[in-house]
Amino acid sequence: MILQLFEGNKIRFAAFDADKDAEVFSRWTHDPEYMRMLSPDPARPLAPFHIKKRFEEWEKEAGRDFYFFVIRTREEDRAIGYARFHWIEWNHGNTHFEMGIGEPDYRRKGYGSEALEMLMRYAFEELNLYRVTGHTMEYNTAAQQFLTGHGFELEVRRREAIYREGRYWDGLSYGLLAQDWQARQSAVGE
Amino acid sequence: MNHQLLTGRLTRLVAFDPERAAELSAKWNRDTEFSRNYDYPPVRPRNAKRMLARLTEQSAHSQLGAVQFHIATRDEGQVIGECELEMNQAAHRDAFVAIGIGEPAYWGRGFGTDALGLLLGFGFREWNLHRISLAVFAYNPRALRSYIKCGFRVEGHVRRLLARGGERHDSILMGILKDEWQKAD
Repeated sequence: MILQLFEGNKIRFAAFDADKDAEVFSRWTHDPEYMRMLSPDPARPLAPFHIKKRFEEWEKEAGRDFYFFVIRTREEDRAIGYARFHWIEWNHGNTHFEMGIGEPDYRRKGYGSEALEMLMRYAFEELNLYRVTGHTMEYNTAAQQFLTGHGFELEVRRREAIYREGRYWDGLSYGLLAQDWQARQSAVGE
Repeated sequence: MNHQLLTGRLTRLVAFDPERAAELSAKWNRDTEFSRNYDYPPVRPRNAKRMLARLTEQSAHSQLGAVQFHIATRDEGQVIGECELEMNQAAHRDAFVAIGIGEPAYWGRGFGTDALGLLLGFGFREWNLHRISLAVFAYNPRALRSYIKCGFRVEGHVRRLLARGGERHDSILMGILKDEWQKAD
């Protein structure tokens, strides 16, 4: 059973290192487009001080269920984004996840795709979950294409749940079942 | 969708860093004019370490309540002041703003007005506010002119509220509505 969960081709998953990563994460939060695409929460730039604090708050909330990955390029060991399972429902075998590529130059180049596949492998083959849930907003067409391209199905449309730039938008939830992900692995190949 | 929220003509709104804030605030509050313009309580010299301990308490969570920024010059990135948006009545979508340019070299040159414009944009476009309020002291005509330029209107005078320097001064309450801001912007 030789299988790498954290070492991909172009990227690897690493633990968050406050000394190395807080500044980079802080810079990403100064990009309003990135923040608005990532989350419906009001965009807000965070100093490295608050990045560290927020990380500690998340870690404390999650307790033993804390799964947080920094996405780093293998070539330059540069942090380009992150992914986390922010709410694992063990009794149902479901988890919710969030992911963002904070470095603009590393978007639309396949890094996110590789990260998503590695994240799903971790959910289904290490956490042994039954399904994964992702969320996005109606104005984020790139995320919608990204999720459906990886086998997610649109499951929930929360009508007019988000208000941005003078109008309401729907909130969208997507789901991927383990069996569907397994089927894609066989069909598409590694 | 226009995502330009934090960058203006002269300034940028950047993350409020508590460690930097404690140092700068202690420095800026040595100037009595700055301190008396900024707030009501008797002015006092500040200790950076004690301020940091207090600022550390505040959460990094993003929901509405209060958000603070440091104000940096757009080109060099020098931090010259701070500003804040604080929810007053969430159900009615009204918030207060506070702003202070701490570096005297940047007074009276449009930096405060530029940063306040960004803060208003943030309040109306990211917090989806209906109105924004502020209080300005009658002995601070420079700030009053800046707020009028940004579109604020005088809504009332709290007569002779402030006792400073042996005299009494009004606190002036101002407000700007979303549609007024849209016309001014």
